[in-house]
Amino acid sequence: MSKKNKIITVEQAKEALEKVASTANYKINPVQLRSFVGVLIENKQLKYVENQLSLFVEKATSVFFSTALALEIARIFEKYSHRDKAKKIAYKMLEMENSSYQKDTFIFLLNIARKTDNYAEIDELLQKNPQLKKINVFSALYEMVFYYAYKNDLDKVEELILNMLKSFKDNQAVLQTAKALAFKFGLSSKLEEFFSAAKKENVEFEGESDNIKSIQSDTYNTLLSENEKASNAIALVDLTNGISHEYGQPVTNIRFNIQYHLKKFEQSGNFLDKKIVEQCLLNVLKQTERISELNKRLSPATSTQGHITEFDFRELLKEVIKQEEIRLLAANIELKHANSSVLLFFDKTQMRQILSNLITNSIDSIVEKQSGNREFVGKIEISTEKDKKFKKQINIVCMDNGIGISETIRTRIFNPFYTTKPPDKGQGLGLYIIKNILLKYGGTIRLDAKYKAGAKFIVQIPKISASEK
Amino acid sequence: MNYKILIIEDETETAKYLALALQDEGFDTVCAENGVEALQRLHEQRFDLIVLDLKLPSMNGDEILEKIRAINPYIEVVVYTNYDNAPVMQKLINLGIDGFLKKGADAELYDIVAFIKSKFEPLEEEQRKQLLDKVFQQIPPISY
Repeated sequence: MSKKNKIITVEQAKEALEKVASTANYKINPVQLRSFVGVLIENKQLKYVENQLSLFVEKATSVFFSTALALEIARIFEKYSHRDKAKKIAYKMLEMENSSYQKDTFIFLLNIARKTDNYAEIDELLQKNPQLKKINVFSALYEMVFYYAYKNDLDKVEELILNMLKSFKDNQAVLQTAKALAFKFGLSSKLEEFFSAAKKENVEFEGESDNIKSIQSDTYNTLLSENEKASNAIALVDLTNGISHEYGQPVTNIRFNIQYHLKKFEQSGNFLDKKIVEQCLLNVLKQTERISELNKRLSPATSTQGHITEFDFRELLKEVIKQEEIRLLAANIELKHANSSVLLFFDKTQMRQILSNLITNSIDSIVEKQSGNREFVGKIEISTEKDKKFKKQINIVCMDNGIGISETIRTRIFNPFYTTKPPDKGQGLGLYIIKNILLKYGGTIRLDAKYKAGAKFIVQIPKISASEK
Repeated sequence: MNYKILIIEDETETAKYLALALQDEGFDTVCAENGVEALQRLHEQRFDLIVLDLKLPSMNGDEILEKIRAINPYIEVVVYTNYDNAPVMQKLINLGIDGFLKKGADAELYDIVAFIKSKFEPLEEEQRKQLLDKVFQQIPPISY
């Protein structure tokens, strides 16, 4: 209940409604009406509201029927299952010439038609007012999709969905809705065509920009084509789905834990064993740690601030290896790396994250292989080399002899929350984070498909030394 | 004999409490953390209902359902997840599922238990009659 509702008394609301009912030109806006009606309904005065509003509609003049108030009253009738009255008002509104609420009224009627699965009246209406078909607001497009689907006109459905994508491509909610609609009407492949066409333009775009000089992220953003933004939005939808799933897991655990023990507590006459209480509390604590771990892991994927310095890659690599030393030793893994110094001009913290994620993946992959063969000696090799094609770029190569990445999942490994590890071992963010860091600085990461002895990742970064700057 | 439920869920805590709550209602439960384990259990013993999570390591829920349906096309499968993806849903519906439960930030353990329980409740008189009529209609008349 809103604050406004709290200070309106039933008497005040009744008084206002009576005024509305007795004088058709009483000045009240739809929001006010909504809160008055809200107060009355909360106080079980539905019948009273219906009577007053019906009275009002009977008395109303043509002037009234062109107002937002009329539409609001129609909505109130629809909400409280007086569909006929709601429709009557709406049709009368449409009859009024120059009504600025035609658009909203039409959408309202389409919505009712969809709910009742009866578009006969809409057909009639469109024959009389063909201009209504041309309304280009999202809710209208959405409802019209269902109208044409009802008429079995799939070409039109497709046209409208694509229209939606083109007109509202910066709006994630619209993109997701369009995606869902396309699926509902079996047009998913058409949608994919649309996005792959968008991607194709991107590739050409990337080719032209091999020599991006600036590594400032805002400049990078302005270089993004509109299409790329659209496909980024889709990626963002996937990311948010992943995040809600990943947060949902520990929350589910906490809820089940509490709900189960609460029931036990009630059933046993308010008694729980000390041990169970302790176990329950520790479990909740453990789940919150999982949530905070996820927070920590997500921040590098989303943070936008970069701090670029010149540093020695070899020294940084040694630091990262030291952090992982215990796991490397425990799993009997040899880690080799070149011993010459390489100066890089990059964000050091982010590079640390990239290396740490790559090494963690390699270790996990080797450990998994060892579960079948305890004697197996793991090997990880990290090296740097100049890129063969683009001489200014530098490649960081990380290869291991772990279980490798099967062909069927290769296209998915860079997606957020894609993982083959058990839930407490990884969230499926490692490679996604690397991909995003590199995207920001004009680098890339790819998997060497020819390498069969395990996994081989090649990270390519622009090598910009201080002197070249 | 009790009804037996297989819970396929990689979140061991979630699976544990769901199993405990179902056991309180008199069900027998078996938990499997991944597809391989689940299929092994299915080959070993008979289940009355399967609770299937979708996001699982190595083999996803929809792939598991495909394999389950190859073993037993009639077993009741309730999909239980906080992940929804339209094409996957389409596949699940085509393979045949008997219920869809959402978990996540607003999951209610005892709503889920009640839902699963309802799957085992006998049909109402009227429903049973309708079902039997339908079956009888499909049987060809006996000819001598």
